[in-house]
Amino acid sequence: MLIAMLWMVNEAGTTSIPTLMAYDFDPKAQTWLWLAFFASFAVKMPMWPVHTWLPDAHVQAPTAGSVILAGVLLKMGGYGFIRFSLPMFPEASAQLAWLIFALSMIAVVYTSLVALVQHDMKKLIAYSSVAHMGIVTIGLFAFNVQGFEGAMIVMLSHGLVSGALFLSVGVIYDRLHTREIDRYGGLSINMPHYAMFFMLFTMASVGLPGTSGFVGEFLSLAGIYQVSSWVTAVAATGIILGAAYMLYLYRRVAFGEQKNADAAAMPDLDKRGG
Amino acid sequence: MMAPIAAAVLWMGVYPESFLAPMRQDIAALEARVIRARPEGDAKLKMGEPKKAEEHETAADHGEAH
Repeated sequence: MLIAMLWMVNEAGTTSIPTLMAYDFDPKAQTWLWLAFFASFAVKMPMWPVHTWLPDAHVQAPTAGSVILAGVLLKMGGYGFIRFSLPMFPEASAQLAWLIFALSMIAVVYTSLVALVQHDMKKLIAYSSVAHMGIVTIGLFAFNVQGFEGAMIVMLSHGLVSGALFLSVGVIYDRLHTREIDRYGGLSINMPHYAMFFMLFTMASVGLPGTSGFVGEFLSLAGIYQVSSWVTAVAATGIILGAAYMLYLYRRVAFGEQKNADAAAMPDLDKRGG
Repeated sequence: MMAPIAAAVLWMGVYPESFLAPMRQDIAALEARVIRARPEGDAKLKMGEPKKAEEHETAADHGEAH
């Protein structure tokens, strides 16, 4: 990316972003420049198959680190596509949109399936983040207003919802010092307020109408439907899988039998939400 | 700490316009920049398509004549 930037400065004679956004690079050069920028933004998003750092980073990070990572840092990749790749290299973006669609479709379906079999709550939410970012990239490369708006709202919504989900995990991790899903169960009995908030954030992650998740996903899918009905169909499958893994998580944590005496004795949220 | 986030999640879900309106101008600028490269879609959507420029002009002339 740095080499590409140096080439662009040499070609356009400026480092001014607004000038570079209006500069028409040669279409052949655009392809190479786009690929150089893509290499960076794809890791940052993260897109499949360069997403593997994210679950490990979330597992190692403290709760506050996970919240910042999910709420702010993941959005830098999407910002890069919106600010640099799309306006500076529009022809290359259109030419290579198939690559984005292919990687995003795999991300949405594959990481959703991986999320289904996770035992660690943070890993599950991290894989769901990769799937949501797939919806973002699909919306961005639809090249229409609905797609752009959808991608932006998914990013905003995901920043709030996934940050809140990591906070929710942090609340019970502070009490029991484990993120293993099987160690919990029946928390709605002794932690009803916690269960209520956790349910709202779960529903928002699923994309229930009336929550932020629905608006972004619907707009993104409406945008991509104008470009490819096949991509829309596969992306919609990911949303169904999203409902499966999030509701499965919620059921195992909040409902069912209280198998662990320590978990059953955990106090509910206090007034500051901790 | 969770209540304000929950309120924001519901607000964005019930009234997304307050989040969409501030970004409209920038999105229109981005669309204007990339529209020349927009790929052809496979969806044959007809409803809500804007009229072509000539049709607009003809309709305007027709309206003026009356």
